[in-house]
Amino acid sequence: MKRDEVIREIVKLLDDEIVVCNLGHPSQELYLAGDRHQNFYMLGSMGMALPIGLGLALSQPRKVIVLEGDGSLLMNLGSLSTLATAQPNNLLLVILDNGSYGSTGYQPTATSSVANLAAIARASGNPSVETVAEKELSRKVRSSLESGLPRILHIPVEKGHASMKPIPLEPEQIKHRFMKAIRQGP
Amino acid sequence: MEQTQDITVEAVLSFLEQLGLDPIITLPCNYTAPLLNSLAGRSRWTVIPCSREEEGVGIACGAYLGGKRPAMIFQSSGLGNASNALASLSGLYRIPAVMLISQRGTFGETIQAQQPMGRLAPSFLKCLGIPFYEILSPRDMESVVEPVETNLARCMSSALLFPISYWTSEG
Repeated sequence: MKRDEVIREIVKLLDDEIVVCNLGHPSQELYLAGDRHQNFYMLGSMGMALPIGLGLALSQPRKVIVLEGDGSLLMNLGSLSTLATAQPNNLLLVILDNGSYGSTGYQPTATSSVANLAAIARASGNPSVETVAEKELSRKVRSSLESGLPRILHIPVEKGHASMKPIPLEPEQIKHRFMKAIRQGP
Repeated sequence: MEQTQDITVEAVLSFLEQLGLDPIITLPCNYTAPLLNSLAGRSRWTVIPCSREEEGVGIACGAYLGGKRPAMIFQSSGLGNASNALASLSGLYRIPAVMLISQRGTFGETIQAQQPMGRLAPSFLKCLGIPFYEILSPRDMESVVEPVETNLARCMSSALLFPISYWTSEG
């Protein structure tokens, strides 16, 4: 499945949940799928999507969906065990795994050969991790949004990207409208 | 609030209380261990131990975005680990981080490997454009409440550097 199609599918299922999205093409694709003030688009600090999402999940009641990539998650594997320790029931981690660093020219990551992020997530102590195929995607995301389970979805996606256009928002704009949108509560 | 006998710990807790700082994101250090134990023992604070200081900056930024006033407690060696997140997340979006840093490599240090980042810490913070305050004794904690509050209001980070001697100082 193409990553931008996965992102579109997820966005279709959302109401006012928070989305924290990995930098580069995924954030651009999220923006194209339909900009929302509840989207926190990362622009730098690769590897920080999950920690930001965790901080949010522990600080307010709204559901948080983290869209992470394999390259960025590999930079910060410790956060999988921090997540497992904290065990918030309002965070869904979606690992969009294309086995490569897309935004720099598709150099391969370790998941294209030896590493299994779903297994690493499980071994880090997370009890509810599923590798999901295309036909199950909507059902699994819906289940997570409604019941809180599964908590981590590992989705293999094809290489490729739908956008090369930078998001036309300044970082502080993203911050301000995001904080205002979620301040009101779910 | 229950009191311990340790004024160095109580001064920090009072600072956290006055500024409404919470949650507290932590990594351990021998010198901050009594402080971290006190925090863990009081329901007033949510303590979030993390695996690396960079991750801690991410969690703190998420907590701030979620409406909290987080603080971090970690060693000077962790400043290096946190650097890109401090520049490209906290700095870029102007999400302020309040950092209580155990400054290793200062007088009394027994571990040589703590010296490089311990000594670099002030220059490092200066490079990042983060105001820092050296805390030599518990009474210094009172005088940084207002500067840190002002920095927070301006979406600026603050770093408090606690040299090893702080933890045996009096008043």
